[in-house]
Amino acid sequence: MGHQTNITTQALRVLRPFLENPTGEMAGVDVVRSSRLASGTAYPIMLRLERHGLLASRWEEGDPAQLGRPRRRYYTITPRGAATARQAFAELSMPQGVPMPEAI
Amino acid sequence: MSLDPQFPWWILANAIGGVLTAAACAAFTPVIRYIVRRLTSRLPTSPDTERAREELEGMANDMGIEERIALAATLLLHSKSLHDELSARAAETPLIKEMEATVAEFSQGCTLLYSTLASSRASARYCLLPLDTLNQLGQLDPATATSLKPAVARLLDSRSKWVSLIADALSMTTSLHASLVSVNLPALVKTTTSEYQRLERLQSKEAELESDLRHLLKRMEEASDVTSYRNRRRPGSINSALMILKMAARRAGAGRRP
Repeated sequence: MGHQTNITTQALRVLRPFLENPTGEMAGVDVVRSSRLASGTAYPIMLRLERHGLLASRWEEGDPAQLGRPRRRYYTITPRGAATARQAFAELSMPQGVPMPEAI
Repeated sequence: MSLDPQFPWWILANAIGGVLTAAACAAFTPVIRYIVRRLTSRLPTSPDTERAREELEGMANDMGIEERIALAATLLLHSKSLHDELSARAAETPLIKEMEATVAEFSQGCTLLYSTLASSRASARYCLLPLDTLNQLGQLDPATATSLKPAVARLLDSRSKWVSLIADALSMTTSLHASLVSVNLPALVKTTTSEYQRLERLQSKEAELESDLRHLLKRMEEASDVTSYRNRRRPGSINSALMILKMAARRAGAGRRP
């Protein structure tokens, strides 16, 4: 779509796990854990990335009463998100296999 | 090492006790849920806020004790980013509604054009039948028939391509509808504008094709002996023109019956 989105280092931490499996889904809590950011920091970033079309999400199917717990929200990376993240990593010269530095 | 009796140890003890108590409380799911609800109740009311509340409660449910304490601490001390994000979403909601209306309108336009094109394609296809009949009956000048048939075939082929294109445009609007909320708004505006321009080009081409078809039908009429029916035709109506040709073909067919 050609729209430029500014990517912060923290946003890249959130996007990075998705690049390992671009078609896979991750529950919100797993995204937070993989990002190694504080959950209260990672969550608004996930919402922002979704608003900008880099991530997509859906509710877990099923009734919370039947599940016996709140529904989970599952996230996937969009093709645009994958392209943007790869480009950002390339510009930063940070190979995907290299572990990310600890949270700032 | 001696302790300073003047130091306000009770303040330090209370602070440490408070932190430990808060941490212990946050370790329990109901407490973190209460914190999440308190926090989201202060945020702008919107479906996104409700979603955030449910999602954070769900995440807290899946977290370990340490993670829950960290979540509670962040939500209590640094909720500004979440507040800002939900406010940004709330501000975009009217725009998204407007875009939804625009996309719906675009979709309606595409559907109408698709219907017109499909009908025109059927008309173009049907042109071949009377053309063949008139040709077989010798009511069409062979030279005219030779030139008309490929022209109608080309028109039919062209129509099929445009029908396919507009079907793509319809598919695009469907996907736009589906991803409207998650798609980046400026990108959505750009895509929709581009689709509109494409639709305008299609409409322009459609008018050109329509003109071609009318011209062909006119030539077919002139080449056959159906001119007496011309006055019955409504101006500009392809279907009426086809009706004339069908009648001519039927008349010619009836004349051949034993």
